[in-house]
Amino acid sequence: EGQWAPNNLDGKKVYDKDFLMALRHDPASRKKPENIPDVIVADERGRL
Amino acid sequence: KTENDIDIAQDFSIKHPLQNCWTLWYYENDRSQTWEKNQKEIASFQTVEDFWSLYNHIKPASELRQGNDYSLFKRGIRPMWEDEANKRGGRWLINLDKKQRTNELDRYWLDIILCLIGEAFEHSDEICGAVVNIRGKGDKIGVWTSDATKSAAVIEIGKKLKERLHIPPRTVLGYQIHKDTQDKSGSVTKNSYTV
Repeated sequence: EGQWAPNNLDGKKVYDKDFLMALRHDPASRKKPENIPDVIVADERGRL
Repeated sequence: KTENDIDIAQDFSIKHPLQNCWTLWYYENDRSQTWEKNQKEIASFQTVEDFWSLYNHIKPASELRQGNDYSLFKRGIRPMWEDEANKRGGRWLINLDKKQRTNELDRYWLDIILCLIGEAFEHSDEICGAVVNIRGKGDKIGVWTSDATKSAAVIEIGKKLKERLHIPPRTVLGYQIHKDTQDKSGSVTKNSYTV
C-alpha cells in the first residue's frame, strides 16, 4: 500500500472527503490559530 | 480509565500530515494600495487538524465583501500569474451566478480545498492552488495548474473536479491559460480545454 500511515511513513498522504470531514470537529481541529486578521475571523455563533 | 479511553486519547494526539504544506491568502480590495500589497498571507498548515483549526475560525467565502478573495496555494507559490510556478499555467474556471453565492459557493470552495489538501487528483503535482473571487457580477472559483501544455493532466484534473463537486454534465467547465487572460482584449478569455 502506498498510503501514508503511522506505520508507513513514506507512503503518499491521500485523504478522501469523508475522512477529512470526519476530523472537522476533532478537539485538535478546534484550536483557534493566532494572528488571523479580524476582518476574516468568523462570527463565533453558529459556525462550529 | 479503561483501556479504550487510553486508545482514544492517543489517537487524538496524532495529527494527520498532508502531502504538501498549504498557505491561505486573503486579498482585500483596497484601492489606495497596489494589487500585490493587497494580497496578504494569512497562515500555513501541513496537517488535517491544522487546516480545520484555520477553516473553522475564518469567515466562509460567501461572507467576504465584494472585491475580495481567498486563495489557497502550495507553500512557496504566490497567488499570481507572474509566479514561476504559475506563469506557464492556467485555471479551470467555475463561474457562479448570484443565486449560487448562498446555495453553492461555500460547498464548492470547501470541496475544492479538500480535493487539494487530500491530493484527490492523479496529477496532483500539477496543482498550484485555487482562488475564490467574490464579485458583484458573479463569483468565480479557479483551480490553478502549473503547465497548460500538459493536456492529459489538465483534463484529468478538470474531470475530477466536475465529478467531486457534482457539477451537472450539461454545465461546461473551461480551462483558460493565464497568458490569454492577461493578453485578452475583450471581456472573454477563450477556453483552451473544456470538460
